[in-house]
Amino acid sequence: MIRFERALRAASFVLIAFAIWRARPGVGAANSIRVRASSLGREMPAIQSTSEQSLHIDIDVTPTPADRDALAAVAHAGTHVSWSAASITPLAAVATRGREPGGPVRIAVASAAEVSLSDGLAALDTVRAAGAARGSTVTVGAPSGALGARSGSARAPVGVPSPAPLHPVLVLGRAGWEAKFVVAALEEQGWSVEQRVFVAPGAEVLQGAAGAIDTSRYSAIIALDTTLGTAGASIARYVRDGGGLVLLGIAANAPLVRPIAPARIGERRIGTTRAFDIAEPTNAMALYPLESLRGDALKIASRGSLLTVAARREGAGRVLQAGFDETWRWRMQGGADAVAAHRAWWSRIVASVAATPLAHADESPAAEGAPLARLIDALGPAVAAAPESAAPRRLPAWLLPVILLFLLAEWGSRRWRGAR
Amino acid sequence: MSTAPDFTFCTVQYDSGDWDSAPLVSANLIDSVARYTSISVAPTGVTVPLGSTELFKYPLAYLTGHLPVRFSDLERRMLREYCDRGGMLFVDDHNHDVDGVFHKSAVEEITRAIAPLKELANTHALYSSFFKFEDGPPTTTHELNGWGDNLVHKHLLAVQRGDRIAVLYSSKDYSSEWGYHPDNKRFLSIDNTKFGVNIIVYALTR
Repeated sequence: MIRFERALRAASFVLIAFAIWRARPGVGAANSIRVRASSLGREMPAIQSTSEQSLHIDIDVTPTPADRDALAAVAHAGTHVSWSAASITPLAAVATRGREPGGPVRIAVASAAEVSLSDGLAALDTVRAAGAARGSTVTVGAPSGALGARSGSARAPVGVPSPAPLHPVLVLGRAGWEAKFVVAALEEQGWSVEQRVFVAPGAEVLQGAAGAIDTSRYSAIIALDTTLGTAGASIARYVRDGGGLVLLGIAANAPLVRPIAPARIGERRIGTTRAFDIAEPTNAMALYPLESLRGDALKIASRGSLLTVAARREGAGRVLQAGFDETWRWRMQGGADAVAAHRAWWSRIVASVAATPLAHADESPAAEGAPLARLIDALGPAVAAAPESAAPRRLPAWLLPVILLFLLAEWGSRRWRGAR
Repeated sequence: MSTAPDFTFCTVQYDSGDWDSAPLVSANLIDSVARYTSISVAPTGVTVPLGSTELFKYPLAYLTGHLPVRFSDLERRMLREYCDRGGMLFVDDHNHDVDGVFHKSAVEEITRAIAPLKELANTHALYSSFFKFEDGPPTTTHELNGWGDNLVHKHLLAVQRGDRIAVLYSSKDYSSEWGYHPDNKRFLSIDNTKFGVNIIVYALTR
């Protein structure tokens, strides 16, 4: 009888121990762990020290980059890591910064659903990149704090590149309203501008030091006409070394830059409209249409059948040719927005060719803007459903009644034979 | 189609006062610009009403007179917009008299339309934009002869936008100083319109 009672007691203890072991959080049977992504932060120390053979993550929220990388490390250490999600929205959001002073941040978003963009202060915008084939682009001036995109349960921290360090822009040409207003527009936009403006033989108006024409000194050179002065001889080499060159109107006829210009220019035409229309202000500008486009040049813009803007690479640099003449009239005679529009137009033109120091090229942040893609990259594709072995195992329904029965039987047996 | 000249001298016509009191100044300065620089300059100047959008075709404009200046609302608005867009107005007191009606009313109108005038430093780029004027604005014979307010004005006044001059104001009566036929320059030992060239070159480059 006593032996029977001891057996019951031992069996009860074994079953209780088994129940306690099974009740440990996140632990299943068959050497498998199953964890929700939302509790990864709490569970990660246990996961990293476990000797389990498999780990399954239920993606209820997007894992942080740190958790994702830790899971990848666990996988590389030999644990089979899988993941599944009831629903996760593919989301990609990437920010680039224009090569302009305080360059605007352009956020390209692709998602099948609505995407909310926010920074450290507040929501910025909500976009619907329907179709996701092209996505949408949002431009923000100067985001404060961490920039992020959210679509459904997917959340993507968006890295913002630091502003490109830019050298001054050099404006070359003869004294005239074009030089004045190009310099003014760029300076108002935040560019540092130097100019060498021809006034009379032997007399140039200099703004800035008349130093060497070099990529370490200038981000871009703007030639407003054929008067290039002493700088002209160095321009082709400067561009081949990586510099940016903007040729406006008749400037492409200057012998020193003609060999690197994207096109020849035709006869000057007046604007097709008298007023500077908000939508197409360049229609009112006089134009030297671009003709005989070089084979390696790219068409950028046109007015009807007339090519107005083209660009090409020359060595390591870029040359942009805009056939317009007297763009200053847009600023003085355009509508209420003309000053800002003229300023922005010139800034974009220069930014499109501006050379940035090589050191900046490697400073772009890691692309954290595509959480699903990064997760797949780190852990492989999702599994259709959680592996069976990793399914959570509740305590068997019979376990507690059996333990209770064993204990009662042991207690009853003892009472039966008069023991306490 | 040929291009327009780089510079056309523009005299401002305003509703009040005698805006046309110095008709020879434009020809004289046009002659000087052509004589000393390679700037392509229109052979004749234009006169443009201050209240007209034509004004925006000429980013440097010259305004003078002897009589009280009272701008209309339209003129005031146009002048403000002209300066906001980058235009530069050169105002010269033809009376050479800081107690005169032109000075008092013009300064009041400029203050009302744009901003108060302040002394322009004699080291400003205006004084070295082409010719060098190390002592600031050149004196005029009217100052030296004791006419008008009997003062030699050491500084010009200006309203600046950033480091650019939007309104340049002179009490020195350059309108009288430069108001002669260009052919008569040959009788001068020193051409007194050189500072006018500086104003134009400055406006064209800054």
